[in-house]
Amino acid sequence: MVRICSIAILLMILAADAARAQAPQAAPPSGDADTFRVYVSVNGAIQSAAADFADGAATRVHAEDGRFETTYAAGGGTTLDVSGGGRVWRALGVSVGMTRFSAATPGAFSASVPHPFFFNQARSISGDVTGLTREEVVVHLQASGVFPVHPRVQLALFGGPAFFRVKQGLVTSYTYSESYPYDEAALRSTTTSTARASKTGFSAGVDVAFYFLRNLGVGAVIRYAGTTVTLPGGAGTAGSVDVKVGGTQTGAGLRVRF
Amino acid sequence: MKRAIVVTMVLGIGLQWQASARQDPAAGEADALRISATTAASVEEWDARVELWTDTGELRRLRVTPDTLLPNRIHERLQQFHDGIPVFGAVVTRQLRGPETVSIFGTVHTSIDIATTPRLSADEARATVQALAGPAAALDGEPQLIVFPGGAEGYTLCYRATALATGDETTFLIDANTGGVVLRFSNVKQQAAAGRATGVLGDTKKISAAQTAGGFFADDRLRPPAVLTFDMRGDAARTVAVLEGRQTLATSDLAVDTDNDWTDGAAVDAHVYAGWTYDYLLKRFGRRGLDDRNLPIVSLVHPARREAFATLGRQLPTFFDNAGWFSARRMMVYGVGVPRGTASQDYNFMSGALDVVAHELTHGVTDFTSDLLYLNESGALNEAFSDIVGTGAEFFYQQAGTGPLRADYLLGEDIVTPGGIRSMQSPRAFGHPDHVRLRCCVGLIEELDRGGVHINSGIPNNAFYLAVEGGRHATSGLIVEGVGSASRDQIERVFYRAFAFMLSPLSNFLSARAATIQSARDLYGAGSRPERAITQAWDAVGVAPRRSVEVSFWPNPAASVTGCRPACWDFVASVLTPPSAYTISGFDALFYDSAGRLIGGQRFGGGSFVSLFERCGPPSTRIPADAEACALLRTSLGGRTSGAISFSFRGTLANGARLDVDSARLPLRSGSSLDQDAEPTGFSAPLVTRVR
Repeated sequence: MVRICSIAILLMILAADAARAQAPQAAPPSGDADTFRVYVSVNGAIQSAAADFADGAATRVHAEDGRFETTYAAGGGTTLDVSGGGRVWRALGVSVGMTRFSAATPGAFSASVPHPFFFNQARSISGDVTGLTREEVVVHLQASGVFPVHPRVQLALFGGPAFFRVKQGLVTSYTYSESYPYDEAALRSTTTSTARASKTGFSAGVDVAFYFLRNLGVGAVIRYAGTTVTLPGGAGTAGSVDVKVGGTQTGAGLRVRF
Repeated sequence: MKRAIVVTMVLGIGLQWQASARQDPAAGEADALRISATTAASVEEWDARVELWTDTGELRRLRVTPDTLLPNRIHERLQQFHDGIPVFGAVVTRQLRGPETVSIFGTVHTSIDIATTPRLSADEARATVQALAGPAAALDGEPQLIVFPGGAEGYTLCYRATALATGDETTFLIDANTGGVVLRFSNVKQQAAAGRATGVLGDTKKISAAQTAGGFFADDRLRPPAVLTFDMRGDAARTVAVLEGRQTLATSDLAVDTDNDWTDGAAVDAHVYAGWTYDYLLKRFGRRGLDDRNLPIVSLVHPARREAFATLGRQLPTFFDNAGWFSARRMMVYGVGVPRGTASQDYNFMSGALDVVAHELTHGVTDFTSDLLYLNESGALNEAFSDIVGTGAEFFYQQAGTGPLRADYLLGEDIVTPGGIRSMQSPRAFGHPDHVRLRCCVGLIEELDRGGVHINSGIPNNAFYLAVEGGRHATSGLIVEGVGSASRDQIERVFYRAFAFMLSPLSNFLSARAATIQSARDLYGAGSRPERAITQAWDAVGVAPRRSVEVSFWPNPAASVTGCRPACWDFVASVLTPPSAYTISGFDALFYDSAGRLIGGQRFGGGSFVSLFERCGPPSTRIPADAEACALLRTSLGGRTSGAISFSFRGTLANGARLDVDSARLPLRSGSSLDQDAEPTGFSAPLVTRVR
């Protein structure tokens, strides 16, 4: 991760230096970009779906090991992205941003429940688990290169470490019903809890801004931010589960510069 | 008590017999009607009679059972009464589809004419039974009055009482006027074999136990009935006391394990296989346990210590190389096996074989359904039904194959090694008959396996096998087109339905044939493959309606009795009727030398027939339709060591037609494989008691 961030920052510096060399040829109609040192952007964005994941645990039932597993559909959703930064040297800047993402992660539950009378004749039960959600709060620390490609249009490349804090609803146990002759069982309920984890990842993207006023404009951003967090597993019996979080954010919003 | 009557023959040629002293041959005759109504006309006729008898109270409904295999069918079981007293074995089963009667089977008596006021009080009868059973025996309930088909007036008013004594349950029929013993028989249905415990085989299985503070007990609480397995801890005296009702079982007697990781194979298998059998009965037949009302299933294991076999084995076989269902106590007892080297086969813990456990439990099912009398052909059917269910359970849970824990048509092969104790596929491999022509020892109730219940079961067993698997019959050569092993469940259902719902206590092989064919028609349709297979199978084993009166012998040829001087021979002679009664006016015995020359003869009247032929049914000159009369006879040939004997019977059929029947010759050979303790002459000592 550090290596990726270092490469991203190096690319920013090189790009910023190149932009500085080109700047005189691109005189903006309503102000030199070099004169603006602080940037603020507020975006509404769509975050693409992350990878589905599964979590399971072994359970001892009727003197035999059974197992239950939940496959979670990590759906996409909306995110709010606020970031601000400034130029520190030529076209090179630094910024800090924060995104908050929340989405439902419905679970498909299945379990093999050992038979009370026979080994290796487990009954299969299954069901859908609703009400599970994931919440991601990510703080992005970014180096950026800002390139005025037109007096009103500004292109920025950015990248750097991203600090993820994730909450994920997980199935931790279940109850089932069975009756003689026990050839079938049925899922009665599932118990869920919220697992929490933090992890540093990275983010990188590109932002294009169009300033229709000297200090105010609109822009679009595409960013990828991601990492893999380790969540405590269902009921703790499986230890933990690794979950890929983040995703590609595509958004648009206001741009302010000073 | 029986006493011997020995009649010396003329011309130095002797024909001797043992007979009960009770009968006056010239007196009345029992007149049994054996019902097997499956055609529309016969059903209509018998239905009308049943209705009439029900209205008059001669038939009373014992119970009504829904058919668990066919919707909208019920089965009535009606008991015949005479002046308010039940007639022994006279039960009619009627299958109903809504208001329509589908079939009727059973036995009724139409000429009972005896007084029903006993000279003997119930207390006196009780004292008589107590004296017969010994002071240690306990009576199970009060003596009950019944009408027994047989005796001087054709029928005898009797007290019926069951004594529980030393690992046995014996039912006594005591003449309610004279106090004499009319009939006695043991109710303990034994699996005549022993086997190897699953624990020895090392298979692992789940056990359903109850957890308490003291550990895990063999108390299955996951199934609808209580399934309880008690560990008698080798205490034979206590086991006997429990079986006799003198002591009760306590929770502390339950088999127990401290960590629920059970290692006592005998207890594990008794408990687990009892549960499996319950499951099988429910899943295959819709039956809820032994009584269809979730009667608790109680098993006793370790009834004695194996080392005690030398001292107790002969007295208490059920505790060692056998297993038994004790009707009165409604308990199973599984023997502990015998020390290695004691017998030609190895016997392990009896509960270690699924087919043995299911077999014994099925005796309980029979007790609550057909109640097939554990004697002669009805007893062989009782045994066969247990073998059929035992084998069905094996195939239900185990993979087909050979060797331990594999489903096959052998019985007890997992615990009696090598080979098991019986074969449904090849009964003759164990010396058992696979054809009526080879039928054994019917009538030898006291002397041999209660008239061959474990031996002649080979015949219906083989019919079941053939109906499933098909093939050419080893003895008759007839080919049976079986339904195939994939459809074995069809034949299982057919047999279960017939045996549980249609047969009655005195049913014979012919009754079983008719009932199973009817059952197949009901379940799968007339002309269906199962019906065809079952019909062919019964044909192949020789169980088919007789066209005329037949005479059969057992053993055939007969071997001379060891120690008998001059040479003598014991054998059973049976007269079997077609679907018509046959009244015998007399018969001749003809004797031949080894060259086949006639060397003498003896003429007998009808009264002698009654005296002699009293072992397979009521003593009478009239043999009902599809029934038989049999006698255990001893003969000599005037000092000759080989030759032959034949019989010629004179009589009339039900339609008045005269019919004389000549038997084939029974070869009488020298040299005997029988070990006979009998005295050189006479029948005062038990007969053929050690044949096996």
